Amino acid sequence: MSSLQAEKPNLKLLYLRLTDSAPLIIARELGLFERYGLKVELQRETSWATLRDKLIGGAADAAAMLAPMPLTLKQTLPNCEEELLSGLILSCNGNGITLSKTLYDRLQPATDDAAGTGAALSAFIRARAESETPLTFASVYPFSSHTLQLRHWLSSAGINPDTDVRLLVLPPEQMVDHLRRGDIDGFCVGEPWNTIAVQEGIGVIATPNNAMMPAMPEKVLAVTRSWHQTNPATHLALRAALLEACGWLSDRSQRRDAVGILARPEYLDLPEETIALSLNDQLLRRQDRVPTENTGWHLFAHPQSDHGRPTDKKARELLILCNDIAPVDTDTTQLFQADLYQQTLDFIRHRHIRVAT
Amino acid sequence: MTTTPVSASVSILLVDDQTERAAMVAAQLTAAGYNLLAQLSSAEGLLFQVEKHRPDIVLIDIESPDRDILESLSVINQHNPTPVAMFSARGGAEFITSAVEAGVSAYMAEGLSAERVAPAIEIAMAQFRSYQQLRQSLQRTQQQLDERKIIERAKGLLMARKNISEQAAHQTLRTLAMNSNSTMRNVAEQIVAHLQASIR
Repeated sequence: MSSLQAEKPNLKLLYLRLTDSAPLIIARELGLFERYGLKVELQRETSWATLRDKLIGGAADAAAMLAPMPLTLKQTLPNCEEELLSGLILSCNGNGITLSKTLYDRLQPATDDAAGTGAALSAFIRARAESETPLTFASVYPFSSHTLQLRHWLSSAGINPDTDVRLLVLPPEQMVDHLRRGDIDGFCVGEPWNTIAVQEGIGVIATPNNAMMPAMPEKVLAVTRSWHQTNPATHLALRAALLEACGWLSDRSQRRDAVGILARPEYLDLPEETIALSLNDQLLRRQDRVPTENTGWHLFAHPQSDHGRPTDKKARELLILCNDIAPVDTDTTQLFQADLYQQTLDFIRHRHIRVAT
Repeated sequence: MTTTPVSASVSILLVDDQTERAAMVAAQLTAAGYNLLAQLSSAEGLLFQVEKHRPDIVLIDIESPDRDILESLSVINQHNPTPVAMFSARGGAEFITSAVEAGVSAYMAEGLSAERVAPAIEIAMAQFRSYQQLRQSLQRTQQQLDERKIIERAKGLLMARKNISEQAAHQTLRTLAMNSNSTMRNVAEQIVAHLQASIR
């Protein structure tokens, strides 16, 4: 029994249909929320904007949100008086860049990694006539790690993301359909959508994003400032439960069990063999190949590592990258609250010591 | 001399997968004098539609996955100089709350004054709400009908199997429900499932 008295024990949490929503789902299934005196309902959303607005509008208490989202709220809702903050980075990485099979077959890259595919793509674009429609790539939200990673990959191959290609936004669940229809030539999306495109034979993974940026904050636990102020103990309990779930997921031996849970109809509603690959660090680049090891596909927070700590520095690094997409205010770094993370660590440790003695 | 309503020159794009609801909203907006450019479901290539129609305001179902597409237009606007999120027009979390509750979201063109657009958003929100109520009451009626059907079915089975009257079958169901602290519907479902299984 927790000594923590949650102001609001019944909570609603929002997430999207992505493998890295795992901490929320696992915390619920392992009874970790109950351990901290919370009763949590999970609700699946299809759009990041909707997830954000439901959180701000008070239709939910917290959400697994794109890391740059709280930091760039002013750019999307300029006069919104509410703020979003985070005291826990749930996960790093988990995304990939996929090209359509049609495009990939025409590229014939010398090596099948990020650099090789990028170089081939760059040469392909230069060889095209100016009159041809530019190649089109999609990411999932304007200010997302996906957009940043896609732009980074294109830039490092010498492709100007603003002029040499067309970039647009599509919701994760629609990516594969748009690729199949040929509306887009590639995308950057979270797992398992890259794997699905490969398993269906319509896409080839150009690179998992951790190959380029080893530990980029991906999803954070976000709440509104006013909610945090009214429910500080609830927020602490929530972070503690989720940090424990993240720690559980960090142990690779647990991930097989996690796959079975995530696959269920009420959560991701996708085949286990689809979710299993990235969650077990397996990269299936092409349908006709065997998977290779990709350590760090999904890095979850862990009390013993620094992945989960939302620091000023991490916020600043994200904002600098975001500024490349569109001008952003860079004075929002304090919305990543390392103090809240520290409080969670102290709370968990103290609690364990108390139980042990 | 007639005065032109403020709404006259404001052009609207309505995105809604619920065709009935869209028709309700469209009718209200047109009646209020707004210029409705198009009414589409979310699958119709929103990006290109916005480019083509250049609306002053886009009204969209808050549950639509396409909201992120619209949002990207407001942020990365090399191709589309148009919409910024509507919430900027009114500020505050309260307005967002009521929009979320009503189930509608809107994006408006930069430079358009909030006063001119607010009534259109209010109309959409009111229509979304009344549609929700309509749906809920329909659902309730449907549930009641379903309930009656399953109870009648259970009674029929009981009458046939136990050779009892309709009134006695009804009485049996009610007693069972009371004794098991359950509803007539639940008991009826169990009886139907049980008796059907025993037939096979």
